[in-house]
Amino acid sequence: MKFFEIPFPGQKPSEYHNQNGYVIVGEAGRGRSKAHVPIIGEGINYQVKKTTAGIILYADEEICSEKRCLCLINTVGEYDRRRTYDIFDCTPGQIRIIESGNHAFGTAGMTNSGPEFLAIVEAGTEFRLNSKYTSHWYIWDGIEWKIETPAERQCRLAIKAAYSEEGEWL
Amino acid sequence: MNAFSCRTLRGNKTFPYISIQNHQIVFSPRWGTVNDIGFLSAASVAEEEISTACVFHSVHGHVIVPTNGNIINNELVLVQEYSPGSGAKRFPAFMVDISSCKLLSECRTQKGSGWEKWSLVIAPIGFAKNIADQFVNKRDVLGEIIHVRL
Repeated sequence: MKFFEIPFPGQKPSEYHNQNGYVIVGEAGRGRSKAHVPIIGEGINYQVKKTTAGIILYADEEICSEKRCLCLINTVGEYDRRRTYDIFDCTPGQIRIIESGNHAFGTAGMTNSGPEFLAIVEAGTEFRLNSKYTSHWYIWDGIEWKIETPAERQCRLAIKAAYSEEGEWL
Repeated sequence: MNAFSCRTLRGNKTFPYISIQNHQIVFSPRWGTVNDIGFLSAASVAEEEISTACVFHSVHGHVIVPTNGNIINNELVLVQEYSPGSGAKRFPAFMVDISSCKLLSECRTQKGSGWEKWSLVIAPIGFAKNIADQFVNKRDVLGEIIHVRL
């Protein structure tokens, strides 16, 4: 399956580039947690293997036809002491988390924090990520990622409802 | 299906259309800061200045559909209420009593100097002009809520 990353809420997912031979999930420090997931091989097609020692990613150059994708999702936006950072409004079972870490703010890491996930995302998955002032919807349709604001999403759903006559004329 | 004539009302000005961009009424306030961009209404056309329209209501919101129908029962008015921010505080705030109208949706700015509140309402014919004629947009005139004067 393809491997994408969402480096920051609000940014369009991009293909993950393996540079170190492992994926870093989260960050190190007080109030934080960090995990390393090793990558064996090189390429754009990834397979996930669960071993007794942990998760391993296998990469190769085969043409990828799988509709699922692997995604590194950082849910944490800019600092705001009241903002909650996580994956929201996702249908249960659509995202399978295989590794998680944690990002936090401040040296002591006590002010606010949020998780980062390495996850397998099923085709047709929709979820929402908060950023400091707004939020964005992410949609994986099995081929590509789409990103839209809540207003754009509501607009799309309203037009879709109008075409299918799920409502009434005023 | 009822057809409405579309109006945009801002202070003492009315425009005989509602502007659509990217399939929706774009909330672009002049005063205040927008945190989370709200949603007023969708439209079946991508970009247009709609003068006559029908309105479809669904659980996800309203959709404006342009029409050429002649049966106009009411006005569909985009009321742009505002209170000027820094640099224009002496100008009056524009506030409207919309209790006689049917409110479809509204968006507002949440912080910063000044504020705006945009409401999409179905109002009786002549509502927008009646309000605009009453608003005096001069310095040192006190802002007050404007009611429809019959």
